[in-house]
Amino acid sequence: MGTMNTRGGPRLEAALRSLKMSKLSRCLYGLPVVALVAVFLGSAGNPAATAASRPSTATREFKHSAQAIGCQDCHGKVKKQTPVQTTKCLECHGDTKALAERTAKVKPTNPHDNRHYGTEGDCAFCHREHAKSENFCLPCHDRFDFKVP
Amino acid sequence: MKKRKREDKKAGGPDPYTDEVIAHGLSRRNFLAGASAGVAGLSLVVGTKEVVAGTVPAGAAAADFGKSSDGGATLSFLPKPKPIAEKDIKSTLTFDVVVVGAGAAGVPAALSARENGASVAVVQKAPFALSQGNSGTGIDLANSEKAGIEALVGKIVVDNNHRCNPKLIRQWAYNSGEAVRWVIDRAKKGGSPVIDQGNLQQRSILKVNGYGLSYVTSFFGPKPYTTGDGMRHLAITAEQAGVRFFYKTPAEQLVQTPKGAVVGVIARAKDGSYVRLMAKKGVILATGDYQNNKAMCDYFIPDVKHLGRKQLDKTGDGFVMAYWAGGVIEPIGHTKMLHDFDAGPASMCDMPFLAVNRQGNRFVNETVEMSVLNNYLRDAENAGHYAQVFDSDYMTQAAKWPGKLVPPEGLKNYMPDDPRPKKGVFESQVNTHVAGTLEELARKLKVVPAAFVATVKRYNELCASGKDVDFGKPADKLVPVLKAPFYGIHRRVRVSAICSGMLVDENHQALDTRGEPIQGLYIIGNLGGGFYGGVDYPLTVYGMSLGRCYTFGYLTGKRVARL
Repeated sequence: MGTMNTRGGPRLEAALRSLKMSKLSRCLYGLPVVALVAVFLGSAGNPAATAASRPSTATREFKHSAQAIGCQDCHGKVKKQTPVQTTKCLECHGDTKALAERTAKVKPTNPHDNRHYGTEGDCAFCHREHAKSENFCLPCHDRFDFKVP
Repeated sequence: MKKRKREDKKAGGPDPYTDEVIAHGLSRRNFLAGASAGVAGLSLVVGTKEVVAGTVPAGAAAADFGKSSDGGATLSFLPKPKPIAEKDIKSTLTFDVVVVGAGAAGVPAALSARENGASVAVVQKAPFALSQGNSGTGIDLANSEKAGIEALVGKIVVDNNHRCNPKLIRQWAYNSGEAVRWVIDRAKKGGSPVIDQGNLQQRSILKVNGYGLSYVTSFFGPKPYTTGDGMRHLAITAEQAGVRFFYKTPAEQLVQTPKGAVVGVIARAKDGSYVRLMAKKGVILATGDYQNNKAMCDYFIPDVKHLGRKQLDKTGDGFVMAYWAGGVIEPIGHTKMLHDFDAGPASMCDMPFLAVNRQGNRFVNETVEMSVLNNYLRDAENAGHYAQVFDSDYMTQAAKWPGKLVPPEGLKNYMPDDPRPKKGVFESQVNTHVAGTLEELARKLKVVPAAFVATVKRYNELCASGKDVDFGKPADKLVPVLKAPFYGIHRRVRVSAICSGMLVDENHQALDTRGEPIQGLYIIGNLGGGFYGGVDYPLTVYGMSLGRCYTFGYLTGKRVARL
């Protein structure tokens, strides 16, 4: 995000510059970041872990721990840990259609029923266990200002 | 065929376009040639990271990834398919035709194949059929002059910067009317409110070089209804005709015989297991572009690095499959399509009002069209953002300009600050503003206020002098911004599509590096190459992109079914 002053004009508003890179990059590439849910369990010991990787300490803190849910409840007992798929979430949280009905009146739009995925979006587009949740809609839809739990 | 082969040998290829793509495109032959010449064949190449943003994991063999056309770089976005164990394949089903991708090319291809007697399966990554845009266009042959059709073909070749395969343009020209009419009819049967708009959108192209033309224009709209909804309606017709759709089932690999013929597809089902779909007559790939694959974009089209994307999950899966099957990807410098028809009225997007970038400065002679403004706004800060600005006299001042003015009352439909419900637009994308002062308008448009006010002052001076000494815009397009309230349309051009792809012949069969067809592999839609080639998608005929998808889907489905 370098400065782009042309013809000696004043600098851009701080608000424009402070656009977070994480949001920007998703805006640019629209990549669902499913893997972020548990990518660090999976990448431990992998020399190719990318710049997107966070320190492994993140793995020890997660929101479901409040419900006395342990690592294996989501990630299973296999030796090589992999990101948790939406199907796993649904084992406890139930059908996404029912979820979409519960959020039908959310304004400005129902986040769980949309043009892109219907009611079948991945939970991890927005909801994270080991990181701060993110509003997946926002980069393209400025006014979809959801607070994501 | 025999004759063509002889000619191929003599001339080195069947036509200049194909020759060029074979010589400079990306293919496995280029890699193998590099290896045999001893150029960094099987060892990891130093400097990979400088070449592509997505890096290859350390320790991975270079042979596990595709190579750049000079053999000098390992390309992380072309991972070699990993063998899938037989035990992981839960079921094997056999069809005549398997289509990969349910979009504006794939759904018509599937239905067309079915209507011509084939058993057909479609695998689709998303939970339903998807497409974008509203208009798809073909030529109404009965009401067009032959010279007009040829003149239009020539014009499209020029507008593609002379880098397309003219045979494919001509094929669209002579078959699109029939194909678009067919799509309209079949989508209606599935419940779509689609209409034929005929020449309504094509008024500026009813004559080329003095010769007359007429069009068939399918209109899936108005928004928020789009061709996505249209293809879902068409898929209903296809399903009723007996096409089997497998949704949320992304294709991962092609099944090939030892001799290289493509005979099926392996796709991943919802539960993570694999399903193998064998295709007796052919596999038709219609997976679309790769705009959401960062490494691939950085390599083929770095122009769009900082520009937003309109689509999701377009990761170029079909490119990877076709490459490893022996296909050739068009050379670096792919064609892009970046539009914003939504922030304000589409009919005003090319009107040459004062335009400013995010810094509040003028940046172009505003007669340059919206569809190419991305080239001026590629940097990280502007990232495709700009604003069209006009004052309250615009209805009279711009009355004679090309396009169609929307009166102030109608503009409210595009204003997020206006509380009334919106009609015929994507509500979350409208971005038109009105303000009593220039400073307030600047804040609403998110441009730097002081610079914006200075720019307007300068622009008004130019208008008063009658000469645009800054950018040379014609005097009749110099209209000052003087009288409150002031209006602004904050547009943001984003990537609708990247429309370069795999080398194909006129049967839409993939060609290998010798220019020979790959048995059983057909490629259509934006995954297919040869139709464009310029810096930007040309708006020569509105709706040509979808019209081409329908036409090649319709023709290819029919052809493969009849094999």
